[in-house]
This record gives sequence, structure tokens and C-alpha cells, in this order.
Amino acid sequence: MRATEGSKVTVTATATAKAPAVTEAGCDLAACDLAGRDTLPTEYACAADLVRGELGAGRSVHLECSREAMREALAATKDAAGPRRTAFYLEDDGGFDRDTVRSYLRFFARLAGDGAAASEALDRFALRRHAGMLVSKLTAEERVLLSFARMSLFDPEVCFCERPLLELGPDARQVVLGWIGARSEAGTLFVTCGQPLREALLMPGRAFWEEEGRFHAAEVDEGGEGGSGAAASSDAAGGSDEGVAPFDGDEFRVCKIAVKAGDVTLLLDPREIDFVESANRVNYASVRGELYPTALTMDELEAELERFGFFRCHRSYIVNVQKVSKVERYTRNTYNLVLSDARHSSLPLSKGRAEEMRTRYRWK
Amino acid sequence: MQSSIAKLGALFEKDARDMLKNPTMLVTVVLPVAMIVLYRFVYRDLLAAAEADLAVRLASDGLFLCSALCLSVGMVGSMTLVYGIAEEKEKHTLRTLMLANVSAGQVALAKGLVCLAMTLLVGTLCFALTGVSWNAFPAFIGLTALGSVPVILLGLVLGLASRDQMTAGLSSMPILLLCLVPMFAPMAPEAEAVATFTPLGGVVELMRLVLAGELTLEAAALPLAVTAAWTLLGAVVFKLLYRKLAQDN
Repeated sequence: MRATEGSKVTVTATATAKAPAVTEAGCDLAACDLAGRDTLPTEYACAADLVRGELGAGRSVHLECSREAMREALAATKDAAGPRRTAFYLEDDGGFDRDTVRSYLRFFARLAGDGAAASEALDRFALRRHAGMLVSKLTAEERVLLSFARMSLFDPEVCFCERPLLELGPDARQVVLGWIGARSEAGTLFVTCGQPLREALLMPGRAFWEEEGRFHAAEVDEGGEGGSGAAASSDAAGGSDEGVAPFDGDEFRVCKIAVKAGDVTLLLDPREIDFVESANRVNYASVRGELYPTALTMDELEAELERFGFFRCHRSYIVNVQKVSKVERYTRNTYNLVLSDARHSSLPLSKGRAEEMRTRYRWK
Repeated sequence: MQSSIAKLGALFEKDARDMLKNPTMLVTVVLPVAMIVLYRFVYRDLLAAAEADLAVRLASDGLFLCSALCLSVGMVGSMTLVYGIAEEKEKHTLRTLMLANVSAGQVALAKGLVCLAMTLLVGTLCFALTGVSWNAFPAFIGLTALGSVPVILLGLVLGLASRDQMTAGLSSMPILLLCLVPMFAPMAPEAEAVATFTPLGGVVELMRLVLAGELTLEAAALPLAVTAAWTLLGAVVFKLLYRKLAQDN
């Protein structure tokens, strides 16, 4: 790891499965006990330090952050990329309204020095049927696909994207994540910015979340690389299974999950819940596309919900398995679950838990 | 080098296509031609008199060629460029290009070349409509090209300085008016006093000298100096500001 001058980073061992989510902030890298193990910084003072540090170490990084931090990350990416081939997608990219999809891609293919690549990009990003359409007539989703098609033409070594999955439905998300996965396997480094953290966790690389200008790593909860890290908040909001009585199986037990909706406490039937998410030190139950905060810890929720068909697919996520429609794999270490909920949400599935899930539900 | 030329070719083609598809730009391209057609109706008595009188013919040719030069350079050279760049800034396409490893210089050069080509094309059309003998065409087109250079450089700076198309309308106005001043020089003594020192004053004066057969090194010195000064000014301002102004709003 290359620590940038003046930056404060905190380091923790990735091999420690139950390592604290965020260790003491402000600890100097040099003061940390590296103990000869593969170590990764878990906290950065600002977006620029984070991008420079992670790109410098050859890792993709995904930020859940504010707009201001996005601009900072963009500038740092340009700076850190140096002479490498780069490609950028910014959410307010516009213009080229008088071009057709085909002429737009041909133009950028010529700029990239490979005029023939435009046709391949049309197919890869499912834009062939829109080839003759004016760019101005494209939907927001198609426009994002077009931007990714444009980036693909440059065969980038470093790629920066703002809110890459924001406008995408499940099919388009699959196309984009598939491309990101394939490029990552080929060695491209990605810097993505956006919200929520869930989207950052879907992509190969490390995920970070912003709190008061500082960036905390979504901690890896198992060995190996990849984006399957737990959000730093899971244990902060977490607890233990102690005090939860074992379920005998022949007793009638009421199970309602208490969540807050403004000043009102709602009692949710577990079957209504699509998934539970832990983000920024708060746990949320997702019901019909809406997130409701709950005071219960992830461990308590896991214990309560397990018998209703829920599975802890990630340290920060508990999924209603009945709602899972698809398991996707984009790289060796990146698995995603696609749900059939209102928003066709995608959730990260930790590499280690993927095998457990397959065994438990007898998926072959 | 080869890659730079390929990029320049792609940018040139895109800008040329864009100019023909953009209604605002198309109007500025069509307007000088339409104005010359209108002039032929307005000055039909003068044109009739020019048939018989050589002195009138000389004055008429001077009026038409100077108008054609000022209109084609002034309108196409300044407005299309300012509007085109301002639109790219407004819609962030300039940023997209610069993030796609295209330099601000390449963007400016491509736009400048397209603008020059379009100015010469419009100038040729205007010339054809004036009815002036084609013997004067080489001098006309050469002086149009010479006069376009400072206007294009200033247009590039003003385009980059404009936040959006709305401000582009305002930015292009002063340079357009400056370009049109020599057109009115024969009609207003006040205009004549300043016309020589405007961006196109030099080339218009040279055009008159060519038509009158009075082009000597001595007579051409001041007009050439004025044109060179505007070109130098445009180049210096462009060089100083284009990197800074090429940032998006």
C-alpha cells in the first residue's frame, strides 16, 4: 500500500473475520501493527487520499459519498491515473443530441483509434436495436448504457463512474456489472461513486462509506479479495445471540419486526420484508422498495428471521430467500443476488456465504 | 502524430456534421447569402447604372465584395464558433471530449478549421451572387481567409468564455458588430474613421485596393499591419486563456 503524504489511515488485518468494523480513527499507518500479514487501510481522511491510496495500490474502489467528495474523487482519479488509458462516466454527461447511437459510438471509436470497435460495443451493451436512434431520444437507462459503451471503446486501464447503477433496471444492471466484472478480471481499476453502499458492494474491489468527510472501509468478512465486505456499521449496530431462546418448533411464537416510520412504530410481518440492510451504523428493513430503520441488531434480526426463510448473505445483509430470483457472478469473487422485489434490488453475496447458501437450499 | 491527425479528422467531421444539423448555426450560414440576394434587389438601380459606367461599376463591385466579405466572415466566423463551443460547454460534451484524451487544442483547431472552411464556402456562394467578375475571386477568397483568422481566434475565446448558448448570443454580438463596421464605411464618415482599425478593416481596404488596381506595398502596409495586429491579439488572448476557459461551468 502506498500511503499518501499527510493522509491518516487506519489498518486492520483482512484475515480477521470478526475484526472491528472501524478501528480507532486517525491512527498513523506507521504506528499500526502490521504483523507481517496482508493489511489494508480501513479509513481515509478524504476522498482524494482514498482514491490515490487505493489506485496506487492497484485496487478498485467504490465510494458511497456526497457530491462534493465525488468531484474530489474525480480530480484524484485523473491525477492518480497518470499516463494510463482512462475512461470517465459522469452522471451529467449530456449533449451529442443530433447524433445517432451508431454515429456517436463511431465518433468515439475513431477518437480511441479503433473505428471497428463501435459495432462490438453496440452488441455488448444491447444497443444494436437503437443504433439508428438519436441520442436525444434515448431513455435515461439507455443513455447510461451508451456511456458505458463509449468507455469500453477506450480499453481503459482506469475507469471512473459516477452513480453507475442509478438509472439501471435489472437487465441493464446485469450488462453493466458484467462488463465491470470482465474488465476487472482483465486488470482495469474502477473508481465508482454513488449511493447506496449496497451498490458499491456489488462491484469488484473495496467499498468505502463517508461519514463527516472521512471514509470508512466496508470491512471484508472473509479471506480473499473482492467486494464482499461487511458495512462498517454492522457490528456497531450489532450484538449477540445471547438471550434469544431457542425455537422448539411446536410452540406458537409471534414474530413482528418493529421498525420506525417517522414517529410511528410499524410492526412488520417478516414475510413482507424483502431484505435487511445495515448501512451507516443503522439497520433497515426493506419493504416494497422502502427502507425502514429498526433498533434491532443484525444478529438479533438474523436469529429472528432465519426461520422465515431469511439468510445472512453478507455481514450487512439478510435476504428473504423467497424473494431471490437470480444469483449472478461477475468475477471469481463477486456474487450478487437479484431480488424480485419492487425495485429488483441487487444484494452482495459474500464468497464464503455463497457456498453455505448453495448447500442450505440445495442449489446445484 | 498519426493518432493526433486521426483525432483531428474525427473532430473535424463531427463539427462539420453538427454545423449542418444545428438550426441556429445553419441560420448564421444562410443569412450572409440571403443578405447578398437582398442587396441585389436594394441596389438594383446602382447595378443597372454600373452596366454603363465603369466608375459606378467599380463602386458597385467594391460595395458588394466588401459586404460579402464582412457578412461571411462576421456571421459564420464569429457566431457559429461562439454558439458551437457554448453549446458544448452547456451540455458538457466539451468535458466528455477532454476526458476522452482529446486536448483543448485539438478541439479548438478542429472547430477553427471547420469554421474557416464554412466561411470560405459561404464567401464563395456570396461572391457568385454578387455578379462581380470571377477575375476578382482569387483576391476575394484569399482576403476572406486572411480576415477569418483573427475573427476565428477571437470567436474561440468568446465561445470558451460563454457559459451557455444564452450568453453566447451576448458574447458574439461585439465581434459581429466590429466585423460589420467596414460595410458601412462608404455610407457614414464616422464609420470610415474607425473601419480601418476593425478586425476586417485591413482586408476590406486591401480588397478595395485590388479592385481599383492601386495595390502597392506602400498602400497595403497599414491594412496588413492592422490585420496582423488583430491576428496577433487573437492568438495571444487564445493562448493565454484557452486552457483556463476550456473548463466546464
